[in-house]
Amino acid sequence: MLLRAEKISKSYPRGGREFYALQETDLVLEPGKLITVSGRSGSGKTTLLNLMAGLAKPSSGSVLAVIPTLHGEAAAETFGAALEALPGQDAGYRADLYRMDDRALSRFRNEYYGIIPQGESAVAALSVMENVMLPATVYAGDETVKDRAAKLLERMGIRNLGNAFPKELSGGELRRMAIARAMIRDPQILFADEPTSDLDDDNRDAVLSMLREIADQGKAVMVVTHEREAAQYADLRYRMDAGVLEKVT
Amino acid sequence: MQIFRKLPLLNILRKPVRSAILLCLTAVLSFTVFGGALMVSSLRSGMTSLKERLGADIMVIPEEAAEKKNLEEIVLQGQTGYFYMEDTVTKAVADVEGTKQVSDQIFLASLAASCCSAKVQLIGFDPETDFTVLPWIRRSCSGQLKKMEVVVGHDIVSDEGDTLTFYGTDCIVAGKLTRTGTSYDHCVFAGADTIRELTMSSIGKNLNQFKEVDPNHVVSCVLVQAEEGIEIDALAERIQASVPGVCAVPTSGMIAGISGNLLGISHIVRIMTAVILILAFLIMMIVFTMLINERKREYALLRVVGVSRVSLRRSVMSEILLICLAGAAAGICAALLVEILFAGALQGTLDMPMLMPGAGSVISYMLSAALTVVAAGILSSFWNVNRVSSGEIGLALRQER
Repeated sequence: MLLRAEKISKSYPRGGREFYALQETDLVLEPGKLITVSGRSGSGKTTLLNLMAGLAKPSSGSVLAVIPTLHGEAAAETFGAALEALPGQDAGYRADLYRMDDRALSRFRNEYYGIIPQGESAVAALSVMENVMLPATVYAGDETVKDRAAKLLERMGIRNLGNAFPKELSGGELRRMAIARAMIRDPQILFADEPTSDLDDDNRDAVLSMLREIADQGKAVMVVTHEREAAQYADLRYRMDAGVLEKVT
Repeated sequence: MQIFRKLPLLNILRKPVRSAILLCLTAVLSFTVFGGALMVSSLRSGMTSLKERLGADIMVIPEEAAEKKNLEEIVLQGQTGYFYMEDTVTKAVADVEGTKQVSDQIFLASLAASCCSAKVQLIGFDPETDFTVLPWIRRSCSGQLKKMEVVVGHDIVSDEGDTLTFYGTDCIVAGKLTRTGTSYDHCVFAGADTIRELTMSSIGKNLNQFKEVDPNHVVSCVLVQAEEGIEIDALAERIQASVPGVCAVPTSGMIAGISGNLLGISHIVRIMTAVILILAFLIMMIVFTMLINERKREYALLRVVGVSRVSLRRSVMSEILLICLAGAAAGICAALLVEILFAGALQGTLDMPMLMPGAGSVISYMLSAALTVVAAGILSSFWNVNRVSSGEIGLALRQER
């Protein structure tokens, strides 16, 4: 799946004036590519990620998803008027994220996106295994989800923590759990917001390697980070400064 | 593996301290609402039952013994006692204009001594003329009372076929009466001939302070039913003027004090319930606001993984609903237990008749209390649930990280 942002911007009223967290921006996320967006705190990196991920509505512009195949018969019905068949046989569909209603956009996020939010993100009452399985159970759950979750935990090196609860985990382990959770639905696009903040060097490298591996499997990966080391894992690097996005390479 | 669907339950079970606090809060609310309603209703039922049991418009008693207070002590407060007057009073009262029906009763008090099974109030009635006790007996037991047969009030520890001894004389228990919630539950009822026999026994054992009485020609009180349209107070005055040596007490006057107390207690219970309801609602609002705010990031995370606004609202409200229902059930059970276990003590403390209303009423109070708690829980949390589910997800994640 390809994701294209066209002239998106985000502004808030601040101190009686309109403050632009993100100036008019174009961005494309392609399968198999890992892009990094770096910049200082407050430069608008997370705002851009949120707009791409369907977590915040842009003040202007649109975010279009080009979907080669729809998952399930009901998908077209779910996404409704926001979905448009592209001309040509098997050309796929185009969906305008922000023309979808909340139900459709939520379903879209669940179906096609894996999102690793900034900071610790876990449901306290669920075990690590349950946290990882959670996205796969929001809509119809399937029988294989437990096996897939176990494999993902294995891959993240925290298989032994499946029955533990989030409060028992370190920051690095929680981050790995968040990656496993983001991967459980086998998403087309993975968004990671500061996935390596507060991690030691070993954990940072491990997490970035995993994200690279995911991109190499054909997924589009967008990483927002202020870590210089992330650059070596990226196919494309962007820099954000005062809401303006610039391509570095 | 419907983890998301089970999330409300898992949140409750896996956060036991938080859940216990919320459960206690909702239980206190339902305890108050249900307990208060049940108490007021029990007092009302007790009052109705007392009115039914008194059954007469006027009670005529000997002037020297009856100083109204003595009669009230026996009839309303369940204390034992006895007094007598000539049985000619019955006919004299019946002859007073405005009386429709009269029936006399004989009182006798047994002792907490070896000659008696228990210290109880014995009430003898005339089956030929009685219009207050017999209808009640007929509702509770079958058949006629034979000589030396008695029926016992609900709280007397004795069953049909048992033998009770009064002043060394054995009586057979022919039946047990249904509960009235009044002092009559501690009384033993017998036909006039049985009570006369027992009075003789008491005199024979030198245990009757009216040693000179002839049991065959005395009565303790005469119950009067007035003709329709007759003013009771005026009739009582006429009886007192026409029959020397008696005091005619309108029963409405006897229970007026209790009615006043009932009104006062009902008011207090209602005000207390309203105050607790408002306080509990405010506390629930604060607690649920804190609970929801504390978990804003979790809710944002659920939205991130694809939970829609409506599903999130449903999930959070389900959790609140489960807590409210569990709390309501706990509070209702506790209130019912307290009411059953301590009804006697409460009745004694308040000095008022109390009778648990019927199962239908109790169930309706239960449902009302549960509904009140659920409504309070939903109303107190609705705004917050709506706020967290409607906000921009990105903003919520940023604010709460």
